[in-house]
Amino acid sequence: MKSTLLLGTRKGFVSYQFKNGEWKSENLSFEGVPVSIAYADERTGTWWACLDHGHWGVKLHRSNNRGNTWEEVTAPAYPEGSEIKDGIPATTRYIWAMAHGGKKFPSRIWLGTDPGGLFLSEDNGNSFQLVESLWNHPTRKEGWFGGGRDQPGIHSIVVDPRNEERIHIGISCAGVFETTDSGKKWHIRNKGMWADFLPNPDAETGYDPHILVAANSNPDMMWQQNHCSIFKSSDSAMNWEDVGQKDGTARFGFAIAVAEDNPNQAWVAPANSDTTRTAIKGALCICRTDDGGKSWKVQTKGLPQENCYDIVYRHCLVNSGDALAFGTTTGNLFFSPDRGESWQTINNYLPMIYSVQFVD
Amino acid sequence: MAEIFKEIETNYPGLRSYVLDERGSLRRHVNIFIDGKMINDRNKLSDAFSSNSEIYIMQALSGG
Repeated sequence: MKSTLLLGTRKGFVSYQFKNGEWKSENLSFEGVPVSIAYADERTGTWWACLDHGHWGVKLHRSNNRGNTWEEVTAPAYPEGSEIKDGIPATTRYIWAMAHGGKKFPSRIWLGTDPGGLFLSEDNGNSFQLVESLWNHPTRKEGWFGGGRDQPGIHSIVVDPRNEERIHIGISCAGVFETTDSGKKWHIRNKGMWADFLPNPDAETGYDPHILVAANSNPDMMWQQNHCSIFKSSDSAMNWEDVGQKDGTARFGFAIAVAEDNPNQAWVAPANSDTTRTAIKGALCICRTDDGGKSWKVQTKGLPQENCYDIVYRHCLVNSGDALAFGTTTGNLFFSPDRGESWQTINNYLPMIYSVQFVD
Repeated sequence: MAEIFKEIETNYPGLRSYVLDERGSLRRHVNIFIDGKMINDRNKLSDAFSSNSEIYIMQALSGG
C-alpha cells in the first residue's frame, strides 16, 4: 500500500500519512479554497492543486516538497475566439481531471476541464494548450452537454502505459473518446452503452460515464461507473457490456476502482437512484465484484448503517494493494486494509471531498 | 478600464487573471465601482471614468 493519501476538498488540499499503523494528517494547504483535484505525478513526486476559487477563477499550483511550499503556474486558458456554443465564449470553469503523460513523455501532463476542453502541457505544466482536434470534434457543439456540471466536462483521462500515445477520456455528457496518436485524431467509443435519458437511445454521443478507469494489470480491461449502470470493456472500450445490477445495489453511483493486481476485481460506491443521490436507505456501502461484474458483494462492516446521507464523488474511491480508501460528500474519510471486507474511519469531520489519491 | 488592467498586469504579473477571465470579462463574483457606482459593462469594461476617478475592486460577499 502506498502510504500517503491526497484529498481535494471543498475547503483545501489535505494529505494524510500512514505511520505506525495509523493515518495522521500531514499537510493542509489552501485553507478555505475549493480544490477540485489534488494530484501527485508519480514520475516526479510533484503535487498539484487544481483550485476553484469562488471569486478568482480556476488556478493551478504545484509543490516539490510535499506541500510545504507551492508555486502558481498559469492555469489553462481557452484561446481567443473559443466558443462553447455559437455566441457563447469559452473560459476555463473547472479542472476536473489530471494525468501525467507516461514514461515515454516525461514532460507531458494532460488536464480535463469544464466546458469540455482537454489541455496538454509538454513542459511539465509550465504552460497548457487546448487540444484543438478534440475541441473541434464535429460532435461537440450539438452532441455534448452538461452532466454533473452546467457544461460538458472531461473528468477522466486514461493513458495506456503500453502505448502512451493512446489515451481514453471520459466526458459528461458525451461518452468515451479515444486517441491513438497523442490527440491528433479522436474516435468515439460508446458501443454497447445505453442512456435512458436520451431521446435517441442509439445516439452517437450524449452518454454519461461518471468515471472511466483501466486495470493496471491489463489496461485493455476498462470499467466505468455510468449514470445508467456499470459498464465493463475487455477490448479497450471498443465494446461495452452492462454489468450493473438492474434491480440490485450495484447500479447507480459515481466512483469505481479496479484492483491493481486483478482486472476482474472492482469496487463501486452505490447511491440511491439518480434522483435523490443519497446513501441507499440511509446506509453506506461499497460493492465489490471478483468476477468481472457477474456478481457483486455488498460490503458494510465498519460503515454507518443508519441516518447516513453520504455519497462518494467520482474521484473519491481508490485502491492500492489490499487497501482501499474513499471520501464522501459529508466529509467522511474511510480506509479498508482488506479490500473492503472491513472499514475504519480516518476522519468524520472533513469538508466535502472532491478527490482522493494514494501516493508514495 | 481594460487598459488599466494591462498596466496593472505589467506591475503585478498574474493579478489580472484573478479579477478577469481569459476573455477579459469581470469574474462572476467580483465587482468594480467607479466613483462609488457599480459598472454596467462587465464584459468589455467600457464604463467611462476620468483621471481623478476612484476605481474600487471588491469581491462579492458570497460563499459559505
